Amino acid sequence: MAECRYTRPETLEDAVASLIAAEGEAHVIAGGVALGILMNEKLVEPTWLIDISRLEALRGIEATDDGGLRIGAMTLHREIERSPPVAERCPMLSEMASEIACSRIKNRGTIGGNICLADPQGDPPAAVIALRATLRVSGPRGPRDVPATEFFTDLYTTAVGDDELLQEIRIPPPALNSGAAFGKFSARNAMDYGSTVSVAVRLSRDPSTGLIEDIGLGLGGVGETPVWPERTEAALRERLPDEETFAHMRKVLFAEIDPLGDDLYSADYKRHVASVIMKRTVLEAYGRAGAKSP
Amino acid sequence: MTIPVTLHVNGETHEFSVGPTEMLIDVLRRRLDLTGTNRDCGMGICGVCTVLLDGRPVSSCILLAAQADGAEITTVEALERDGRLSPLQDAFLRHGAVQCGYCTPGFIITATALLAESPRPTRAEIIEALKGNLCRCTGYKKIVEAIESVAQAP
Amino acid sequence: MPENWTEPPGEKIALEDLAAQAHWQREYHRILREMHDAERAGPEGAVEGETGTVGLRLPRNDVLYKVRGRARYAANIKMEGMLHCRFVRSEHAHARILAVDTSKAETAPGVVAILTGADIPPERRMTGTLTQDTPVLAVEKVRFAGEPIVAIAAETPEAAEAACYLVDVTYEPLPMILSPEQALAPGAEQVDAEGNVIGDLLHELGDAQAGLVEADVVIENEYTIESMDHCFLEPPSGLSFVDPEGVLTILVCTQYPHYHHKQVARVTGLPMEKVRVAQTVVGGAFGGKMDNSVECVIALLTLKTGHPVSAIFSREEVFTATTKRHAMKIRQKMGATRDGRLTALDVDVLADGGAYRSYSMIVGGRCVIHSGMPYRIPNVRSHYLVTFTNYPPAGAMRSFGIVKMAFALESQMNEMADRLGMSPIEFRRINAMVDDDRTIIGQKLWDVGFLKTLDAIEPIYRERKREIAANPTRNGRKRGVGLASLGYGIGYSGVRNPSTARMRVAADGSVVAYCGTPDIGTGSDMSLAMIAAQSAGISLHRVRVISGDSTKTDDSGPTSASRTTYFSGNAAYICGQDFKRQIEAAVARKRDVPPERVQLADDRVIVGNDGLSFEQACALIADEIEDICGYGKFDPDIAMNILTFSGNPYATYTFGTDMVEVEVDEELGRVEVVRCWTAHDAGTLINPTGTEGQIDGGVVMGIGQALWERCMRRDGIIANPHYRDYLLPGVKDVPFEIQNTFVDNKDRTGPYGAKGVAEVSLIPIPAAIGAAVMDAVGVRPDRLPMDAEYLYRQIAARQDRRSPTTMATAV
Repeated sequence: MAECRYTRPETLEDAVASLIAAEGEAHVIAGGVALGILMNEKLVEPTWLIDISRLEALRGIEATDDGGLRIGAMTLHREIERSPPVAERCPMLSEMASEIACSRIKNRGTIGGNICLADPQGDPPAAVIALRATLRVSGPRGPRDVPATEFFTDLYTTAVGDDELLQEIRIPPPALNSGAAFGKFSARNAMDYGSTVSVAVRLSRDPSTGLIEDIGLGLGGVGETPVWPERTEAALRERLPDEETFAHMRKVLFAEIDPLGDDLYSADYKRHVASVIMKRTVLEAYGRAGAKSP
Repeated sequence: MTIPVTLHVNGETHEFSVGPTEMLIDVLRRRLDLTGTNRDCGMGICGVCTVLLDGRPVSSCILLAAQADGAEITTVEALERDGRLSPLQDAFLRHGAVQCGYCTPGFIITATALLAESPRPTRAEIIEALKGNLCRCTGYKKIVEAIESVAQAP
Repeated sequence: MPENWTEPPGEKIALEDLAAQAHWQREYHRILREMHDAERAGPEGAVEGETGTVGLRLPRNDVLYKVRGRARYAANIKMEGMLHCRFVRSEHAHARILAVDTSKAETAPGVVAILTGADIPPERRMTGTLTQDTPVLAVEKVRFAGEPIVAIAAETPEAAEAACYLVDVTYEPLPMILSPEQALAPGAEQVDAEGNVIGDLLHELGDAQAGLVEADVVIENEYTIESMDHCFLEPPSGLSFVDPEGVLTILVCTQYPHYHHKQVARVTGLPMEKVRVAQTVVGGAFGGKMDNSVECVIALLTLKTGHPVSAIFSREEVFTATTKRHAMKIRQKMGATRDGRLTALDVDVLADGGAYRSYSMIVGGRCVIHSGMPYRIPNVRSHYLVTFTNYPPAGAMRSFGIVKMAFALESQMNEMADRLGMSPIEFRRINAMVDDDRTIIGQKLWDVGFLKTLDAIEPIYRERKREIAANPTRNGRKRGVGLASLGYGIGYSGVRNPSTARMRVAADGSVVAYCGTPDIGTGSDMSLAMIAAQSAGISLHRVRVISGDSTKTDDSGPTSASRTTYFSGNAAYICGQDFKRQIEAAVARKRDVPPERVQLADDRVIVGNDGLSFEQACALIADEIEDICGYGKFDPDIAMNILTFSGNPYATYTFGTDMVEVEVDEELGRVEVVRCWTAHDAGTLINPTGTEGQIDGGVVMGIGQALWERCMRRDGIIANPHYRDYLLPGVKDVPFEIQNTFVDNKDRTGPYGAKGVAEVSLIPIPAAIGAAVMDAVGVRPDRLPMDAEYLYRQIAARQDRRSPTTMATAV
């Protein structure tokens, strides 16, 4: 096995300095869940590990003045699941976090680590896309903001440069009369890593006409990256969530996504699953949008 | 390169030099002879290697020892007190919640964390807490019943 | 000559030193006493005499160490100077080995020894269960990806593993045989020198064709069942060393130490008395720890190096290099009259035996014998053909193939009942085997409790059908119930497989019962202790069972085929009786009274009007206590001609009926089993807690096989050698409500009326789930696993047939 370096920076600046020094050779390790598995499988043999799990600056959840949320990249899934501000302002995120794997994983895995892994089947990526979150990235040139919809650029690849780190996730405040929901399909109810399909929805509803007004969708497990199905969003906007709309949505969605078949399920079946789960999740979010609180 | 780490394992403090890719399970099993923490899948799925890290269950097979630096680690060996089984260990024994036993330390550790946080969980909460632990022998029912018996004890 | 190494401290089940063990044994006895007294005072406490325990719910000795994390699994045993073994495995499913170059590995850091197949003399290279056809390490060719070629012993596991990457194997790939159909095609590449057919078995009773003609209704279906893995959680592991007496000792997790004893002796060339194989605590087996895994290689490496050698499989190795459940295609034709009498059954099984023979013929024989079980069918034709392929060997797994035969048979039974407009219970009742019926190979049955299991399930079935008819959906999911039954022969098929037991006593009154069959996690040691103690008339707390050790115990066959409670239990019972007689005779001699005036019962020896505690009696006979050795052998007259399929293949049979309730998400094809009821004719329950655990676990394994589990075999590899894509049921995937009924039916030939139950509850579950799916959504699954996509397609196809214009689906 190759020699490996290990660095545990104390500050964000030190972390960035280490990244610059590593010149793209380093693996950034947060909770270590995914990297631990990949190392055991010998799919990754790191030569330099930069451990950012203890960067206090990257932790914590804050309710912002605009009614939204700011979530540090190193915040654990468990902390998101149980956070009162998250439950109040973005319950869909609590729902999403509670469905991640199991307590062992939620006690180590971080939202930032998961987003930066950019696993096409990840749940947090789908959620932040649907929520139109802004991802703040830090690097030698200072912080910059990347919309979640533009963050996932390729297979296991994100907009974060080799010398950059994801610092925090900013969730905008919910619009009036909005509701959100997270839907997931997996073979079992036990923790499933492989071949899941997830759908995140946030929408608002015109109280007088009942039409879906604004809508954000994010999808996991239906392509090489987490997916922003822009055209499917358009197919739902300004419409009532009825059978006709969903039949139309299904056609648009089928054309828009390109799932990969795997050992469990074919690409065709995943398309079908995505459409069924999307319909159910949209209806769930729509129902919540009718209720008083978002 | 090696990394100096301090681990507080089952109430005792140990200083180790660990490799950057060395997993916590190897430190526990190989250096400390704490073999109650079993090894199986190496992917954090099966749960047989569950230990408590600062009181919370984690998979020791995918956790770098270096990342556990400074933490309190509890393994199944630490649960008994003064020569007596812990209430959960006792309940697993009495309820027939154990057959081959390979998954057992993981279940008991997971349940220990659950009861520490919520001493009177409902059946649904117990089942939710155990959803990441696999058992091939018992069919789970007696495991849940054993935990319930402790949760409902006066 | 090798150095001699002392076995590390700790008894069979515990890793601790003796002082700690003494404390915890006292603790165990305290808890045992407490539970015993509470049980006796409770409603189930009616047992024989004052010290009898059969039928009580008692805690197991080994479990005390398991809950404490001190169980002596092989991977937990360390020895001074121990080396670690890793394997170089074939990357090809079928290839000639042109060269094996280990030169780079030899000089790698930490490497102590390298073993290739060529290092073993040719006459000792092979191992195997029934046929010696499996090389310890492949020499000339490899037959499956994952087959071991080289073993490396090094100072650390990492060094051994790193050195494995330095071995260069040059292959000449051969055409791969990936299915039985390919194996049988004209001109197919030959996997084995003797051809591609492992076995071709046929049995006929009456005239199946005529029976089908006579039938009013005939149904024919083909069922496809994929290969699966045992998924015991403890990977195969073992440790070898040479003890101070010069005995090569293997401590290993196994179901059959005496088999490995013979194999290791043969492979090493040592006399059998110079080899000892002792079972460690086994972390699950289910048939997957019957064949050679690490035993022979670590033995050879210890002889080569003089050092203790440990080997532990990785989970990936478990999936790719241990035996699997056979993939099968089963075609069945069934005929019945309008009034519900079965007239004929015609069965063709085509099984994928993988790269070596392993237990393929045993599985085959069992499948043929069990065709039509547990029904009375006058005309049966059953044909079983198993071939080699270039996948890992298929071997023994819980029920030896009968879960698949039952999936086909019971699915047919349910379909036939529907066609006849009968309830599945009524239809079964008409055809159920009863006392004095004969099996298809002519064995006459007795104490058949099958009808009682139908009686037990019937009221529940009616109640659930009514309730579901009133509420056919819940949370948008379709509900249904289904049931299936089983009949299963206990023990080896058609060959004698005796169990023996010995009991000895020390002057302080402590007793050891030596039983050959190992405890593989089921609690059989506890059951045997309970039987032996009760039979001898002594208190359970005195008796310790030593099992599964080729030096300390007799070869009593493996713990497999649900045989241990019945076979070894009978041996323990007979042994207890003999022990009791010997104690009584010894006391009689001391007291100079006729032996019939002495009685050992309730842990006391009564001599006329006088009574001695068991300890006092032992003290009295101390000078001849060494002579006392109770012996019991249970060797029922089992004989079958496998060519003509005639004779009595099993000593007894267990029967049962399982029922499940499912909810099906029709849009997705996803099934959840929400409730389960079982009824078994298991005879007397020795330790009911353990019996229930076996039943619950079998149900869960059945749910896994029905809905998710399969080895994905693609282009000669297992594509999912990990729990990420090999999906085992977790606690949220199975019903908490598993309600078990044990019908009142003692087996006159069993120990205290007990039968075996380890495998049985699994057997009907996939078919019962299939029936429940049919009840819920109107499709009949003919494939295992019936995963969500498969069921979705079945459901969509059915809806297309019903309304082709509106339900056009995209899939």
